[in-house]
Amino acid sequence: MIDLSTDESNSTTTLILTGDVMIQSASQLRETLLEGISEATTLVINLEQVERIDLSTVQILCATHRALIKAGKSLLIEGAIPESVQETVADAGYGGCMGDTDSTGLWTKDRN
Amino acid sequence: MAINIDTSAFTEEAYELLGELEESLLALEESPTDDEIIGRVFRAMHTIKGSGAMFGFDEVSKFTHEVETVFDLARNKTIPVTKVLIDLTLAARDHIRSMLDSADSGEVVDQIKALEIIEGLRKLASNQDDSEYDEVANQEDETAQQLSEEASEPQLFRIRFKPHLEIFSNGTNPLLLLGELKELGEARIIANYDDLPELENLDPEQCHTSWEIFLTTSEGENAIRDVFIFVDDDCHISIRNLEDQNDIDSEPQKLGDILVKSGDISTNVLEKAIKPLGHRLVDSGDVTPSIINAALEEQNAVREKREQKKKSEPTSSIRVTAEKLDNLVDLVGELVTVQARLNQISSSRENSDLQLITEEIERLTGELRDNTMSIRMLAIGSTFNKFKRLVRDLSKDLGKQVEMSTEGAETELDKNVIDQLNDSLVHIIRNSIDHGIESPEERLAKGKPAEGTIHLAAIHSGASVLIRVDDDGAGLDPDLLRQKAIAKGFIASDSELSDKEAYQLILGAGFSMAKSVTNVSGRGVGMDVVRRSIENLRGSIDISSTLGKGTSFTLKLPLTLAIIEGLLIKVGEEVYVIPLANVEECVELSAASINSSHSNDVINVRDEIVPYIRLRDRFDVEGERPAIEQIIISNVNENRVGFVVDDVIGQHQTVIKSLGKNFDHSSEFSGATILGDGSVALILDLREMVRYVEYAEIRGTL
Repeated sequence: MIDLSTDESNSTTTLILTGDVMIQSASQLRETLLEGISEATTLVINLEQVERIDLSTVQILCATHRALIKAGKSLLIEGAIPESVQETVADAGYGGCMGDTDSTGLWTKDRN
Repeated sequence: MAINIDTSAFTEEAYELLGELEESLLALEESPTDDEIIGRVFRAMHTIKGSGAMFGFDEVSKFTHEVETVFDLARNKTIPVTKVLIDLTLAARDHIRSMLDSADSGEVVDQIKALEIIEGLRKLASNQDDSEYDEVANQEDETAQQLSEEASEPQLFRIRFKPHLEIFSNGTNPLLLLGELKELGEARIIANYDDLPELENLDPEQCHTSWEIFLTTSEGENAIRDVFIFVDDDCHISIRNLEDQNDIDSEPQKLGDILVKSGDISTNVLEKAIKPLGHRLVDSGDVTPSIINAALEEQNAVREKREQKKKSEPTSSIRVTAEKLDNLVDLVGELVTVQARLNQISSSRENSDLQLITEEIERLTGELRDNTMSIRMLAIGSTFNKFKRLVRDLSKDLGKQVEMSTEGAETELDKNVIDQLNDSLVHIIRNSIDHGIESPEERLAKGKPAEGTIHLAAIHSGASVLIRVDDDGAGLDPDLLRQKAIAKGFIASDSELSDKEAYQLILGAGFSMAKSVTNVSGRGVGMDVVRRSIENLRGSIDISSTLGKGTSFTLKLPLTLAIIEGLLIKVGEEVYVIPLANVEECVELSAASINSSHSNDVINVRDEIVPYIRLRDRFDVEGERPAIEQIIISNVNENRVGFVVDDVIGQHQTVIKSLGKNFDHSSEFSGATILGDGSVALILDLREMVRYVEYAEIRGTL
């Protein structure tokens, strides 16, 4: 499930993903994110309730991260990242969106 | 098991290191606080571990690591060097050896033993703080797991997988494929998502990721291909075996080379990218060009100096397989044969030019032969060192105290002789410790020091080498030997044997002086086998002993096995070779001297009665005997024995060819050789001929 909410000041958009977020919902996820980052300066993603993701989701989140960096905006991950998600990211070989040396990498552990 | 790397360099080195390790451990036992020896032990293990891992001998490396860990504690003085530690380390050394052997032979290694050793070492280490204990314990589990896996050689593959954009819509999940690869071995997966479009342009249902996978697996390339078997042809898949291309032990390739090789960049791009450091520094304005030039000059000078040094350093030795040497010796043997033929032909033609060349070739062949033989010469010292361990272990097992000393370790012998000598010496030393040297109490009661000694010595003596094994044990009782031989029916009851002959009895088959059979000796097979194998080497055994004082075995061995000086003789139409080393003199046998000895097959040579054997009779040669025959007087087992032949032709460089398995029973011939005219001559084994005749006589009289 994809749930997007924006706070009153329009500065922070929060995306809460739950359950399976797979290729079936990929188009919807992309649309939602495009909409979410257009206004807000900070995107908060909460993955705590996610059960499974797949490569298409990883790609979209990565592209989103890049778009935010390019626009000088920031991305925050709220709550813990479930193990299954971490596993999928590791299996896919995604070390960090901008490469290993990039401290802003979405999936690197020492991310702020 | 797919071995693509040549591991022989490692195993050879490892065997050598194991020898060193053993030596150092034995030395350490003598002086347990010597830091230098501890360091030597540690270095040997460390090298085995390191190069073992490099060549894919993971089990060896793992196991050695265990031992090294505990020995490290000893090095840091955390635990003392005790006998237990040395025993365990020696056992570990043996186990490493059997692991190496098994890699060659494919035999299964005794894993229980490995665990026992580790368990023992762990106990030693466990006296220390708990963290060490846990570490060792964890490693043990790992090792056990490692050992239980079948030994195979993992290889490193680089797999590039670039799926088709529409792969998702085909219902294929690339992550599952990656998962399958991971199951094959150890995989490092690196995704390449540089082509990922911006979110606005991203088609979320397309795959924009490709992968580089570094997989270490023992399954082979086909197993990797199988993973991708159902993947669309549009996907790009390439698999490279990295160990095929560059030796894994050489320096890893430079980044630029890897990129060019994999086709990711062109050479031009690479050259543009790697601008020399000097240029970059000058560009940044940190230094002036002249400073850079000076530094470069210095660098060049040092480099040149080093190259020069490299050139001038002589190569002290090279490593060659024994097989190559054997081939070389074979070829030299052929050459000697051909040269003999050339001699024969050239002497039959009166052509001085041909004669000159023939002589030149003869000289060169001789030098070549001597040089080739000298290459195969090895010092016997390494064999002696092996016995230190044997003496140590055996005396411990038998509850005796024995000290071994050596002499003449630098004496050189043909490699093949040394190889075949090993077992015989083991037998003799075992016998000396088991039967010769008494228990400490017994020795003290006899007024001897509690610790017995075994002395190994090697001495050059003409074309032979003497190897002596002395012990200061109980000695042999010649009377007891005689009684026993008569009781067993080996000799006639009225035969008179000198003490020396009586000692030789212990070399007979089925003759054991042991009062009880131990697992070490006493079955009466050992010494018989020793005699045979020494005689196969064309050597002899001499035994001397003083009752109560000790026994001394002297093995007389030829320097080499391949070529001997021989004496060509003729019997009937056949030509034979007698080893010249056995020949003392030649005398004529006329009808008159036969008559004077009343046809007793003996001849008086300068007032000495010498028995003789007629080769004509022995070989059933038909036809008339020549009026004057020749007797070759030779020395067999310290006795003078004559061999009657028709004619003596002359000296001959004899290249020994083995007769092959089919002629194993013809012990009277030790081999054959090819003569100058291409015909074959058999080489006589005089000792066996005498033995046969003696045996026939004893059988006749019994």
